[in-house]
Amino acid sequence: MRPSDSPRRDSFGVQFARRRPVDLRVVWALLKKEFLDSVRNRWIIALSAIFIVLTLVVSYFGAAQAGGGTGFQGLLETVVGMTAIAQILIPILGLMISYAAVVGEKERGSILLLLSMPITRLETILGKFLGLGAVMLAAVLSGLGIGGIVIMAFTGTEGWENFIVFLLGAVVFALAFLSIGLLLSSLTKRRGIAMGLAVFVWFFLALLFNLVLGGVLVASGGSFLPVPGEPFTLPDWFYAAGLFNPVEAFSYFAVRAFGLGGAFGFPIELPEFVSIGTTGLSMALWALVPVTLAFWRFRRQDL
Amino acid sequence: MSATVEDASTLAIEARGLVKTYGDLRAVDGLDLLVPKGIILALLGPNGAGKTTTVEILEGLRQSTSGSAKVLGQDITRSYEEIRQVVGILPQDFEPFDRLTPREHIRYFAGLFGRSLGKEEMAQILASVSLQDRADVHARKLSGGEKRKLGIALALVGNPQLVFLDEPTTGLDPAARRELWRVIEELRREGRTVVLTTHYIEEAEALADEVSIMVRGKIVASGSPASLLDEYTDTKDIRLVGVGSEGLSTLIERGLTATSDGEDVVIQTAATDDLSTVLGHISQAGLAFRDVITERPSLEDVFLTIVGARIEEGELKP
Repeated sequence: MRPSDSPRRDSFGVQFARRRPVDLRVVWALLKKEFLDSVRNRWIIALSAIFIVLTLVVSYFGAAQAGGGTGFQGLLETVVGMTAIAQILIPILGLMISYAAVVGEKERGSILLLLSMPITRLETILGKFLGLGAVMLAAVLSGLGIGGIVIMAFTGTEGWENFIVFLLGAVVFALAFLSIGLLLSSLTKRRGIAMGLAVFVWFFLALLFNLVLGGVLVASGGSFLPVPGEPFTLPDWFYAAGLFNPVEAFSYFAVRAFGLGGAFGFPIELPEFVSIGTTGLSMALWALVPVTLAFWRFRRQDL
Repeated sequence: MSATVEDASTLAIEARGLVKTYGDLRAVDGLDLLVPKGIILALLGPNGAGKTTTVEILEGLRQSTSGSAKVLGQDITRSYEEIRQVVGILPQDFEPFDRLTPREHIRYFAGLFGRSLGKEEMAQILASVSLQDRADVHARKLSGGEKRKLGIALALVGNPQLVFLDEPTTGLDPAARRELWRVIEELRREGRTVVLTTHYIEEAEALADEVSIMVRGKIVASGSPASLLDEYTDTKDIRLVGVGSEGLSTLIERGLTATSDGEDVVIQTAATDDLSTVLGHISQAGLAFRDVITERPSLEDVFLTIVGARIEEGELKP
């Protein structure tokens, strides 16, 4: 009873399974279940609603802050505020939806029932990723998309192509955090630990990372103070480091997608290597690598 | 071994010399098990006896350290995919998904078999576990018994020939347990083989055609409940209801082994005793009593004889 391709002697289920092509009917069944289960989660509904409301509020009151009187401001300026909201809420949504996807099923015992079915672990992870990805897609498109459509209805459709690119980037950004959440879920043995790690990852990537980089910048003699009359810029290494963080990559992506010369109230000149391509690649890698590692871990796991 | 028949075509399970070790612990220790098709086999033992590990090996979910096993004639290591198609499993402590209904659960699991269930088939599965009236209720609103029934329904979605039920009634109240027994008996009537792990002796006694008693990774006795009683118990009790304490001394004076139990007296007879002789002694004593009850030993007595302890709440008690 010791098959030659067994990765680990005691691992569940898959050790005896022959390699076979992915059965799309099985993936579809998993996808539908994950979608249905998540869209009935009141926390997911609440967070998506907050996302939509904040997007509308930011665009409406953003104009007042800019000194142009209260009203819907132009789409290009508004996107800066929307990006700031998306940077905070999309990672929370992505992690919240996925942190329990594997470990939750381990705890409830349903993973054994699942693996006793004629399905493979690749199909399991793929179905979960795509099903939860569909939920993220719905949340991001409804949050940013509906906000964008409403704003365009008031201000005209100038810059809609840029907005589509921005939406695509936001979807990849959302998948990145879904992917990270799935990895945490497959690495841990308890739901509580997975949630703790998810909170830490969010805190580090969305908040702490920039503080650390800023600290390094100041310690190395740099400054965040703009020089009067010159576009604000930071050393190249600062932006290069940011490319390793999906939150920063998304921020740069938004700046590039809209061809903005500045963000968050002051002008920014991004170095050339921070492009749609590199920022998009960074987010795409974050969307693909963790979920691949999650599968790798899940495949070898004794449940 | 639970079967004397060794013809492979009649066996649902044929396991020989199964061993599973975790470090120094031998969770399964050289286990042999032959299960004929179409019966309910109860794997009876306390918590930690190795029951779950054994069934997980047989389900192909866990790999044994040594030994071999065939399920429905197929080697579990070589024919894993084929076995998956004909085996249903209810894992221990199964909990359904809170936000899905039983109907959605069943549709989902059918999808994992690449199947799409028609209305009739769906209704049939729901009816087989008596969940037709609760088919569209979110699972978080189901009772404990209903959740287990749903688990059994999910195990049946692939129309399996062999069903493993791991501690299906643990934690349920007596009424829910009896309702689930009815569902399990229905599986046998449908011609399926059922392997049931339990630490409830009365459950094994009520349901099983064959019982294998498992303690510390080993099967210490196997057979039908009746054959186990014949083999491991040699007494039969005769209870004289309402005979009182004077009756006890009279019976003891006549050479019978008897004890008092409230207003009753219980006379212990050996299996070899001639019952008519014992009844003759009782008649000649001229005692007044309200009723005579012959009490057969139970599987609990068998367990006590073999293991030297009782099972209480899943734990061995001396």
